[in-house]
Parts: sequence; structure tokens; C-alpha cells
Amino acid sequence: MEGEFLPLFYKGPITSCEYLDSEKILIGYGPYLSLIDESSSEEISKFIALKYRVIHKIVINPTLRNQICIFGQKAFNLVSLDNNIFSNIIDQYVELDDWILDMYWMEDGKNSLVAILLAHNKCIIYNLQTNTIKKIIECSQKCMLYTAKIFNNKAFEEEENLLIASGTIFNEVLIWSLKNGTILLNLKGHQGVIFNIEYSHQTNNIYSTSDDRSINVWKINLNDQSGQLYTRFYGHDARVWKCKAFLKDNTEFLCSIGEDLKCCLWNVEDKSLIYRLDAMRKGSKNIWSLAVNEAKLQIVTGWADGGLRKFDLNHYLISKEDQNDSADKRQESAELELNLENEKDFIRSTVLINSRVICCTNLGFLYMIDLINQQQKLLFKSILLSNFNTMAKNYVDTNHCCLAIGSLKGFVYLLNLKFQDKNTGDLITIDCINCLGIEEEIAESNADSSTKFSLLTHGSSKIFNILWLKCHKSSFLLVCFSLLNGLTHLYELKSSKQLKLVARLYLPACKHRWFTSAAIITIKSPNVGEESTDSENLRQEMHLIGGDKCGNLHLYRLDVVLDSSSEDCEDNSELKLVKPSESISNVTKENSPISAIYARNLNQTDGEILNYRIICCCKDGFYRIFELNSNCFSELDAEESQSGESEKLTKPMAKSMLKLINKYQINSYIDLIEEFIFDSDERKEYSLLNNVDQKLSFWEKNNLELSLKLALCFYGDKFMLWNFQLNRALFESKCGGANRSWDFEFMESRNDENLIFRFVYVKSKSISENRKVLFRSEIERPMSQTRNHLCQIFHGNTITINKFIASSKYLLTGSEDTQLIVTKINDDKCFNLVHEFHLQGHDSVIKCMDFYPLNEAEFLLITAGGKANIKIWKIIFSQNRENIERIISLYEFKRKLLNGAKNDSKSSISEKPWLYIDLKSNPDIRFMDVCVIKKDSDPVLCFACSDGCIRIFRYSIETNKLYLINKYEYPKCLLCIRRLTINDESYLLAFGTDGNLLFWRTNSLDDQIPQIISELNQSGINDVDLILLPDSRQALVATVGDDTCLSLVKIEVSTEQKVKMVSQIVKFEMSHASAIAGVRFLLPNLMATVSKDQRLVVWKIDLENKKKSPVKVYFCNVPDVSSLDIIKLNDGWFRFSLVGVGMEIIDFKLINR
Amino acid sequence: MGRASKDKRDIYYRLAKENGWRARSAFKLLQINEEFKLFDNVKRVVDLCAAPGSWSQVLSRELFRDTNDSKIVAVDLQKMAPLDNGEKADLVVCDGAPDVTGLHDIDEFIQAQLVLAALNITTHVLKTSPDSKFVAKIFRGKDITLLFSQLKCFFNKVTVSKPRSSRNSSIEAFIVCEGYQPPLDYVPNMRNPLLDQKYSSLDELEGSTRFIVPFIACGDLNSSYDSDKTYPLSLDGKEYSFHEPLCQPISPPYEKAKLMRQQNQLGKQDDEHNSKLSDLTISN
Repeated sequence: MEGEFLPLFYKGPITSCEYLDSEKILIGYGPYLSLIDESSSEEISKFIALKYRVIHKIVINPTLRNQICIFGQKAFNLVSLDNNIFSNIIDQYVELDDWILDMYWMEDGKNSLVAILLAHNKCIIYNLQTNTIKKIIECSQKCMLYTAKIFNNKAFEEEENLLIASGTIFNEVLIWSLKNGTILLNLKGHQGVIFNIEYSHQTNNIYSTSDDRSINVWKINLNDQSGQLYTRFYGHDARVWKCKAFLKDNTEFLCSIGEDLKCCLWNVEDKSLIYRLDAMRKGSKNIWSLAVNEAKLQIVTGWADGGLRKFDLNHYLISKEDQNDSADKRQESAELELNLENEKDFIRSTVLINSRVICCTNLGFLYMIDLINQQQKLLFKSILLSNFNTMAKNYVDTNHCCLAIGSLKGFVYLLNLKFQDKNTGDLITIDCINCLGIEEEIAESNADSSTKFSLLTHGSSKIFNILWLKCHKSSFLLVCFSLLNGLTHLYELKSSKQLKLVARLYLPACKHRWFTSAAIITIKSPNVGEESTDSENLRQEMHLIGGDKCGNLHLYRLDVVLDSSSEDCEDNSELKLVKPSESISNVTKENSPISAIYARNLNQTDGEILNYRIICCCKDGFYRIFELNSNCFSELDAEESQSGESEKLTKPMAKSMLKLINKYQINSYIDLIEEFIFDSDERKEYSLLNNVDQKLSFWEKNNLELSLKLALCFYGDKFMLWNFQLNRALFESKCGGANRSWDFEFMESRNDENLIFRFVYVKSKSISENRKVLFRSEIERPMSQTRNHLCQIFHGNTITINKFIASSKYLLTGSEDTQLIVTKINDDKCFNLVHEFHLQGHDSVIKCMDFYPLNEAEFLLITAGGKANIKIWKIIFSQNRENIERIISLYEFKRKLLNGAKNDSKSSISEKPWLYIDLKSNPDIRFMDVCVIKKDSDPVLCFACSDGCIRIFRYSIETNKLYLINKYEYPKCLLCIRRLTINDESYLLAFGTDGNLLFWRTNSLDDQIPQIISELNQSGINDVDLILLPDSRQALVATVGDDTCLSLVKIEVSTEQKVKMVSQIVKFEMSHASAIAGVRFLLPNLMATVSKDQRLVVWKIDLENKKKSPVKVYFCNVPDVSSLDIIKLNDGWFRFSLVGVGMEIIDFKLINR
Repeated sequence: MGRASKDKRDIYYRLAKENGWRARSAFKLLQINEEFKLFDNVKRVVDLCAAPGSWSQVLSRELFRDTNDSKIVAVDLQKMAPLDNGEKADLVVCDGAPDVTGLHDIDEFIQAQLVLAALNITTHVLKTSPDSKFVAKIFRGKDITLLFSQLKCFFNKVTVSKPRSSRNSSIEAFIVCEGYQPPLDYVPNMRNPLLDQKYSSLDELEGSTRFIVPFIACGDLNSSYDSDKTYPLSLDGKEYSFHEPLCQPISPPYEKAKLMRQQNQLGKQDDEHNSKLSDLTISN
């Protein structure tokens, strides 16, 4: 029997990278050498350049740049690259007997000699043409090295002139000569192991990075054999892995990457840190490789999550002279001149509308400055606007903006600014409307237009804030005016002239009792009590979520009928005061205000089930993402419709609709986040940012992480425009901090395709403006980024579990990075993977998962793991059952309760008291494995737990609650649990760290003591697979463990429902060289195992004769393999997926000869 | 939460503190001994890579139990010199491990080099005898079979053992080599490092001819604690009390960087003149 493996996909850490030229990058991940297009990060071609190994470095021949030497571990290979196609130059990889640390192309005229430095401080000169070692030179000091650099500092590159800088495990840098191995210099100064050494020809500097978290710069002079420490850079919070030096305008700069996931940029001459690129990738465990392109002033970094990230340095490397003039050549700043009528008057607030600056002075003058012709115009003046005012703009259309101004005395002005043409300086129409009929003088300049304006509220209280909210095509104005009573009015803007009061909201008491942010959400829900499912009977239900100045979030259910056709004018004073249906207090740190709220619907259709993500930008430097689930809405409906009497009882039981999923920082130095702009943002003012040509798929548009485009934020005294996709600031302005009136705008450039970003702010009582040209490439999403596996966001840490979902098309992975990712496998034309769904919400490592079919198109997904987390999701397939349409989070149990959710915690306890009591004694348990069995109509979840318990829950689909049915205690940690169905009777099998099998009948789970089959393995059982034998009364159980043993036992269930071993346990010891992590049956006599020795073996099993023989061995590229899954394809093919530090997908087929 | 949280997660960490061991690895040696009777008739022991010293603690407790004429030499690998007066050791142990980088292939290689360096010393100091033993920590990765076959050249019997105090998921294991019997023509040489062997053919990489040694799980299954299990804080009905760790790391490499971070000096020029950190600066 023979077999064939077909490797399809590998993703692992990018351990090496190098610029081929400014358009192309070479990277190495695992054994693959890959050519990457710099601009798109697209893989042009790839090549297995170092089979069975990991590429640690790429060295391009400096004279013949199509010759590439790559090495890793103890082997090297020589590859040529012609017309973007890789090919081998030498037949075989050369395997040496020591680890290779560096390689140097020697200029002997024939390009046949390379110097290779080995980990035992030894150098060999290798002749590539004859494939022989020409010479071996040993350093006089024998020592283990982590790093070394071969360099020359003479004009002629003969081997005598080559020098080695070795970084020893004893914290020293040795400079020694290849002439005879003598040490010329011993550079002492590091307090830890040296990880990387670089050398600069131009400056004769040696750079060393170390375990002691520093980078040392040494000035060496080989003529007098002197070397001294020039400077020491401390900037990393962890070990410094790599550094690269480069020159710009004769100034030397240095880039360094470290375990702290930071990339530091140093000015060597000034001995200063220029910039620290920070938190570039949340969740990734490490960053391994670094390359610099001097011409382009760009660096590229290779990450542990298999991602490649580029950074343009130009922005940070402005020479000192430039800096004094302006921060950037593309950036201009100016102070706007404004002639005020009163000398004592000054500017209070400002907004930017269609290239015009609108500003309001302390004495109540409203001016407009037209930037194109620098004209100043008084729009109107009002004593009511004096001393305090707050402005909010709302683009009704691209050339129509509605400006609302709130005043100290409780009046709100509403101005309609209509522009004939956006780009020309044409006259605009200003249209002030007045709802209440109080009229005041208007500026003469607008005497010809409609001379009405509005005062909305009876002036009594100060207007603390006004906010425009958008919902579909409607605009709403939220007016916060009552500090004492917490009263807030919500108006709907009707036909741009009329405001209609639609809701009165009650804001619970807090120190600064007004909203700083809000968003409106609508859902369609069927009318309660009506059977009809006509769409007309679907009620548009409106909810408002608001954040107050003290960092509390409130959710309101508004009784508003969203219907633009009806112009009914009811008596609004009858409106009921709406109290929040749910509040989450202290969302932010130190009661920082919530600056903006966005509601993003993650589901495609406007169906009744919605899955909102609420994004809160907070002034504590974080953005927080909440989940708002419409299942909660329907549940609430049901509860309310039951009875009004029991309201007091059901109220505390009301399910929490808002759940904090996670909080993120953009960058650790950002102090406060003000606003976000999304990809395909629907707001009119950002329409010019959207690329019309680009067609985003549904998931691209709805993937929250991907849809974040720009952020407006502050750090220190600076304002910053941050680009999420490029991971850097596009614009900075030293405006003095956030505590001022400011606004921004994007404009089209008149001359070219570029955009202009304008930022205006009030400083020292006058207006300043900064503007900068932004290239389209800085704003638009790189075209294919999301489809490209090097750019797609995948697990940043070891993947712990993987399973195919229902077909070979979807794979689910869970990781130590607490994420679950659903990956779609497309193998119709060419094989590619798309990580479609990122399911967040676990607090700790995800250890296990299982599925439960609800019907043909819906599955329940149960995931669990560390910190006693359980989550239940619903996977909904499309009509044709081909694609996953959406995934909804249904239920979650966590040991830790959500941040600040005080009333929530009470209700949770009353809901699941048993869970809390059960886990109170030891809340640190990990759910090691789960399997779901069907019992009556509800799924039953069986967990193997780290405290040695089997916990069995019934999940009630109807109530969305878990009920503990049974708990069984065992003295050892249980690692695996499986269900077995024989003759329609289901059984449960659990496996522990003692190598024992525990067996139950699920029908009598209640008080049955399990039967035990002992010592299948010597130690913990890492994985189990079961297969029913043809006679269907018997099953074959295979277990694997740390003891490298594959054990098989045939079991049968007797008539009295006892398990009976039909055969003795057959143990195949020493099946692998290391712990076996996964086992799967292909057929009853054919199985596969995968081990941490990185071999996937398909075995043929002869149980009768206790024999097994390998059919085929595959060397897998994933170290620390933790999970294996298999699915049957057509035509005798099987597909394996294995995960660990990376992921690999391999097909297998038996060949019968 | 807080200081007890590590006690909750790791039973052996906690037991080590409660029993006065310098590190949890003490249990590993004790459990290997249970299986292999390492200390029977042993008078002379060399403990390589001794820091933080928990194995030396075990050795001294076990060896001086009944007698006073035992001898333990505990050294760090780098400063090791052959033992004086020609008397050779009955047992060499090595619990050393490098700081792992996270790149599995490098970590496995460095660990193998450490074992081979220990083996090189061992060939100088270990008695050629069917009873002499060598115990070392290994990482069982993709090339572990190369190390197995190198060790098999020097010993009659090579076994991989995993004490129950070592976690199920960890890549760490211990190699127990019994009966030192070097090849006939072998001359111990400290000048040249021992290297691990090469794959002789690609068949060894994807074939079935790899050299694999037997595995034994050590430590009594019923009486020893399960390192993967989550235990409640109160064990066997006894009330829990917190114990401070016995020893903290002594001058770690990152000491200065950490101090600078605390003083908010990271990224600032490392000026030695005005720095309060002058006591930590470079010795040239």
C-alpha cells in the first residue's frame, strides 16, 4: 500500500526578509522562499527553497542580484531568480554539521566562493562550483554564538581581509580575522546574550542587540585595533532581536525590532530615539525579521503571525533644518486672519464646512471665511450666542449642510448652508429656520435670502451639547440641556426646515450630566401578537445608544415610528420620558468621556436578526467594542408581552443586550480617541475617500477590524490623523491638545488626484489652520490586501485547536490569542484561504470546540477554554448550504464579569447560580474538551475539565441558558471527551492525564460511576479518535499521548450496557520521537498520527497481528503541533489540517499498485 | 487574584515553595529517581548548570541521608574543569536550559548543544561502568532523534522520561542514559565540541528509519500530584497559606532596562554622567 501527500497551504512565522529592489521583497517562511510585490504585498511566486527546514536568512549576491543564497538551520541553498521564477542553481541543498549564522558572497570574479559562519565560532569558505569546502578557519576562542556577521573593511575582498563579528552567549562581541582566527577586538558591555550584529561600511560602526534590551553602537578602528562604545540605546521593553542601519543624507539611522513588538527608529549621530512604532499588531506574539530599503526609506517586518508589515520612514526622518521650517513639505500651516468688530472679541468655536471656516466669537458673531478667495463674511450676530456656544454640523447632502448652534441661554439655532457648487466660490444660500417663531435681526449680507432662523427651546438652561445623529436617510438632533433633571430632547429633521421632537430621554445622574456621543440603531421586528409575516407589519424599532461625559453608556428603546411619509403633527409635549433600558457604568478609565459611538451592522440583510457592533471611541486612549444582539431584543419583547404586573420581577432578569467584547488601543501613546472614519463610510463628508472602483466583498465590508480606516486622536499636545491600514500617522499638528474647538475636512486637490486634509483649531483665541496633501495611496485601501494571505490577519499566537465545519470548505481555528477564526478554503481554481469570520469574546486560550446541527442550514458551535469560558454561537449557512452567511453569539459564561456591570452581575447570578457555586471554589479551571450529544430536543454539553470533573449541561435553546445536569469527579485532569453512538444508544468516553479511559452510558448519566479501561497510555492522552466497525456493534478507539505511543482497543457494548474490551489493548510504542498530538482514522485499518517531532504519518494497521507499518511520512513545517483534523474528499482523497505555530493543509490519497 | 494566582495554576510551583525547594524542578529529579533509582550506590555526583540549585538541593538531601562520604560538585557549565585527583563520578545531572527565543528550531538546537556540551564534560568525569548514569533535560523537537543516536554511542541504555511534575503539553523531557561505555577509540577532548549527528539520508526525514528511544513516565501515578490539574487552594482539607518564593532571579540581563523604564528613561540618551544608574554601567 502506498500513498501520496499533496501539500496545499502553509502559513507560519516570516523568519527572514530582504529587499530585492525597491519594487520586490524576498521573504522566507518555513521552507518557502517567496517573491513579494512591494506595493500590493502580493505573492508573485514561491518556491520550496529549503525543504524540511526554516529559512533564517536571505543573502543576495551583490554583483549578480538574481543569485540568492538562503540558509537556515544547518543547510543552505543557492537559487536563481529569473523573470520572477525561482530555480535551483545547485542540485542538492548543502547540509553542514553545524548551525549556520551568516553567509557572505566573496568577490573572486567567478562568484563561486562564499564564506559561511557557524554557531561554534568557525568559518568555512565554500566553493559553490565544485561543491567542496575550500578552507575552515576557527576562531581562537571557542564559544557558542547566537549571531555573527561577516564583513570586510578593505577595498579588495580577499578572504584574508574578511572579518567576523561574533556575538557570544557570554555577552561579548568578538572581532576576529579570517586570516588566522585571531581575535582583534573584544567588545564588552552587554549584560546579556547577543542576538544580532550588524556592520556599516560607511561609518565603521558595529551594532549589537541583546537580551539586556539594549542596542550598542561600537566605533571600531582596525588599524590601531581599537574599539569603543559609542552609545547605548535603550528603548525596548523586551529582548531586542534585530537591527539594521542605513544612511540618509549622510546621517546614519538605525532601526530595531524587539520582542515587545516595537520597532524603534534611532538617529545614530544624535544618539537619540526618533520614533517608536508601537503596537503595530495586537495579539501577535513576536516579530522576527527586518529589512530596510535605503532608497525608498521604507522598512519591512516579518511577523510570528505570518504577516508582513511595511512602514514608510520618510515621514519620521525629516532633517532638522526642515523641521524648523515646517513639519513636512506637504504640510502647511497658517493663522487665519479675521477682522473682528470689537477689539475685545475673540473666537470661541469653529467648524469647517465645504472649504469654509465657520467660526463663532465670544460676542456672538458668526463669521464665514471663504478660503478660496480669503473673504470674510458675517453670517449673523446674536447676543444669545455670546460667552458660550457649541456647534454641530450635519451634511444633508454633499452641498447642503445643516449647522446647529447651541447657546448659553438654552437656544438652538439651526442654519441651512446650501452651496451651489462644491468647488467654485459660488454664492451660497444661508437659510435660517425658526420653529418657535421668535425672530431676531439677521445680518445684512443675507438680506436677500430667507430671513428666518430658529430658536428651539425656551431659553432657560445652558445647551451643554448638541449632536447630530444619522439613521438611514433621516437626521436627528440630540439636544442636551438639563443638568438637574437629565432631560435630553431628540428631534428629527424634517425636510431640512423643520425639527420635530420625537423623544425625551432621561439621562441618569452623574457629575457632567450630558451626552458626548450617541448613535441610533433601527431594527425591524414583527409586531407582537400578529401572526402575519408581511413586511408591512414589521415594526421599525428605534434604539439610541448614548455615552455621557462621565464614561457611562446608556441604551434607550425609543417609541418612534420611522415613517417619512406621514406628516402627522402630534402634540409632542405628551411624549413619555424614556429611561435607559440598560446602562453600563464606568466604561472608561477614570470616567473619561466617550467621544464617539458608531453602530455597525455586521449582517448583510436587513432581516429581523441583526448583529450590531457598537464601537466607542473613548478619551482614555482606548476604543471599546460592544456587541448588541437582536436576539436580546426579541427576548425582551417576549418578556414584556407576558405581563405588566410582573415587571418588577422580570426587570432585574432582563438580559443584558450590550456586551463588551474587547477594548483596544490604536497605539500606546495615544491619549484620546475622538473619531473614526470607516471604509465605505456612508457619511456624505467622507464620500470622496471612498474608492468607487473597489468592490469589497460582504465580509470585507463587515469585518470590523478591516473596515476601520482612519482615526482622529490626540497625544500630548498634538492632534493626529491615524491610518489603521498603514498603521501610521498621516498627519500631525501641534495644536496644544484636545481641550479646544477644532474641526477637520478632506478636500479634493485642484491640480491632481490627491486629497488635502485640513485641520483648524482655536488656539490663543484665534484660528489656526494646518493642511497637508495626502496621496490617494495613503487613504485608499491597498487593492488586494484582504485577499492576500500575507496581509490577512490570522492568529498571532500558537493555534491550539482546529476543526473542519461540516465540509472541506470551512475550517475553524482557536488559539492562545483568544480568537476564533473561520477560514474559507477555496480550491476551485487555485487554492487560497480567506479568514472570513473573527469571533472574539474569549478571555483566555481556546481549548476545545464542537458542533451541533440544529437543522440543515444551522449549527450550534460550542467553544470553551481557559478562565472557565464557555461560548455558544450559531452558524447560519446560506440557502444552498454552500457558504456561511453569518455567525451569532448566543450565550457566554465567564468567570470574570464584565467591566463595571453591576446590575448585570446580579442578574447573571440569579440566572446561573449553580455555575457560580460550582466554580466558586476553583474558578481557574480550564475546559479541556467538549462534546455535544443530543438528548430529547436540547443539546447536552459534556465538558472535560482541568480540575478532573466531567460537567454535563443541558443547553436550553428556548431560554438560552445552561443547566447543570451532572458532575462527576475524577482525581486526574481530564484531557479529552468523545461521544460514541452504537445502536442508537449514545455513550460518553473521557480520557485523563493518567492514560485511562472512562466510559458512561449517557442515558443514565445521573448517578452512574464510569467504567474504566486503564493505562491505554503511560501519561496524558492528547487526542482520541473513534471509528465504528462494519458490524456496527463494535468500535475501535485510538489514543495518542506524550509517551509516543499509539494505543488501539476494540470495544463492544454488552446487552447490560457495559463496555467490553473485545481485544486487548494494542500499544504501538515509539511511533514517534516526540509527543503525539493528533490521531485520526481514515479507514478502520488506516490511520494518521501527527507529533511534535513534526511528522505526519499514515499507518496501515493490522490489529489481529498487532502490527503497523507506515504508508507514508510527511514532514510538516508546523512546530509544536497541537491539533489535527481530517475530512474526506472525493475520489479517495483525504484532507488534513494541522495547527500549532502556524497552519498547514495537506491532501492525501492512497495509491494501490 | 494577586499573589496566590500562580499557586492556583501550578500545583508543583506551590508545593516547591511549601517544601523549601528552590524551584519546582526538584520534583522532576525526585520522580526520575523513583523510576531509575539514580542515587543507589552513588557517592560522587556532578550537577552541571546548577543554578538556581534545586537539583543540588535534592542531591544533597538524598545523598547525605545515610552517609557522610558522598561528594557533590555543582558547577555552571561554562566554568567546568575536570575533577581533581582522578576520581570519577557515578552520576552526572544537567537541568540546564537556555532562555528560549520562541523560534522552535533554534531553541531545540541550543538545548541539544547544551546537552552535548554536558556530555562532553561527562566523558571526562563519568566512570565507565554499567551503573554510571547521565541525566539531562531535552526538548523533543523535530531533530531529537539525532541527539538520541549520538547519546546511544556513549551509553548502553538511553531512555526518555517524563516526570509527572512536568506538564503534559510541555516540549521538555529528560534523557536518562545508563551505563557509560564510550566507543573504543574515543578520546575525551575539551578542545572540540561534540556535534549532533546528521541525517544520513533524506529517508530519515520522511522515512521510518529514525532512531527512537523508549519512553517512561516517572513518578507514582496515584500518589503524585497531576501537574495539569487545577487544584483548589485548600489541599487535603488543610487551609491554604501563601509562601514567598525562595529565591528571586539574581541580576537578570534586563535589570538596567527595567530600571530605566521605571524612571521613564527609555528612549532618552543613556548619559552616564547624570544618571542615577551609574552603579549599573558598563564595566570595560
